[in-house]
Amino acid sequence: MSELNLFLFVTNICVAVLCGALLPIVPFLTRQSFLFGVKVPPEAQKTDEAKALKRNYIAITAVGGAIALAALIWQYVAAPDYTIFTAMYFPFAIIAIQLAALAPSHRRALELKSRLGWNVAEITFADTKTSFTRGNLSAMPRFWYIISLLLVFASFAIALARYPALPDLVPTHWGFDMAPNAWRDKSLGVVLSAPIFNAVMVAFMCLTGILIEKAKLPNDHKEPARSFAQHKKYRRLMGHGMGFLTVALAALFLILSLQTVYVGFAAPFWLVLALGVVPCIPLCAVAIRAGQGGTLLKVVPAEEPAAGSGDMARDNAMSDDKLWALGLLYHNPDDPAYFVGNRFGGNIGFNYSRLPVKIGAAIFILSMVATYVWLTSLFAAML
Amino acid sequence: MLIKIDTYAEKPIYEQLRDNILLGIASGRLAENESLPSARNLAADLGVNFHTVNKAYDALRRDGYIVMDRRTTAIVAARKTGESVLSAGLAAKLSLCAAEAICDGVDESAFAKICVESYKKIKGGGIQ
Repeated sequence: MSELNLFLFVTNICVAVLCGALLPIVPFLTRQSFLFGVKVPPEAQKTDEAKALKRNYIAITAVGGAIALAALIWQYVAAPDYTIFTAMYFPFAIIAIQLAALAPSHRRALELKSRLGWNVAEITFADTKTSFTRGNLSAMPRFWYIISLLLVFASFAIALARYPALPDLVPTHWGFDMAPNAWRDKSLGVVLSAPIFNAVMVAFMCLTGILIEKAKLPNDHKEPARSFAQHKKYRRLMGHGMGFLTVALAALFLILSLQTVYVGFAAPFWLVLALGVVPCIPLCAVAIRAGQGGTLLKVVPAEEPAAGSGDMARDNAMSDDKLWALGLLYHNPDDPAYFVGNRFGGNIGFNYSRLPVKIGAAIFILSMVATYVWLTSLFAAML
Repeated sequence: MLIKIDTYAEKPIYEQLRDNILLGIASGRLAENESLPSARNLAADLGVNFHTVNKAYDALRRDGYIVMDRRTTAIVAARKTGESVLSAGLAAKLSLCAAEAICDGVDESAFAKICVESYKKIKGGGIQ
């Protein structure tokens, strides 16, 4: 138990340090057209008011991160058996810190926009070629998912082929030295659990890849052609990163499946660790380096001005800011899009006016609550 | 081709969209037989109602600028050549344009010159 507590504690510390480093830089990864989720002219970012707002946000997130880190250490020293609960609930503390910093910044940005006249023309853009290729997913790097599916099929085929020859007890868990430390009675459910988990994981990763391709990303209304070129590069990089991670995880579960059906076979721990962790590094690097929807990427946009008459681009005070809560929650009944890039940070969010999104969000929240209640009672009983 | 829509303009969105696509076809930025995105995908990218895009596509289809393949995919129609007469609708629009030019004091030769320059500019790939 103490070994597990130490492992969870180290994991918590890693999450805290990573989030503590990432949260304060989020405003600098966001497109210049947005200030804490409020649409503003890019020049507004250079004003003293905007800089002060960013300094305030950094201070809140930095202090919040430091308090969270201290709380983690205090909890482990004072009550190490409760580390599992900290691991479960710590992500909510991170979300709370970000919201505590974002909510007042967003409100203040709206006030500044109104007071200083940071009005922006309510223009919306689309690129016909991008819309077409995203519609039929033709630009998605499918070969990664085909390789992953082949690995899933291989894990099923090998498990089924080996099943008759397996002993009555099969290993189901391994220690850091990769020696089995848990066994269960042989059954189809036990032997196929790794392949089934592999298939579910590949399906989930494939859906994430589709989400990256389908999501509508925010653009800069002053330089739409550059924005669309950045979106294209961003989708390509993230698509390949996600595909590579999928193949690596499918290979990892194939290895775990092989360890179950070939008693005595054990892959080296470094290989398991490498397959699980290394592919995440380029993906995280791209997400940070590219910024929101690729806003920090260097691209050469097509020399093409947007069509339409020039007099359309007049600024006005009317804004679609009201469609966004905190720049994170989008609700536009007129917009048929399901997936949209958030206005704050680089994450992809949803259009909560769509019925399937509402149903999906309800199912997600209910299943999360049920899982947390169940796990909390389970671990509390083990104390 | 980039499409630009002003969601708060007095001009209806479907008309702006129709004009954008028409300019794209005339300037060659949308090539003959090029597939346009589905109405749903284009509406999602522009953040406008699906029926608005459908209405613009329908107007372009009626005028013969695009054709609908099995009612799902919009394709840029082959460009007509050798026409020497304006359609009734287009002649009416040009008459109105000429009337405004006359009222604004633009003389005949200047008006003709502006018309020819505008024609050449769009055909050469430029869009105002």
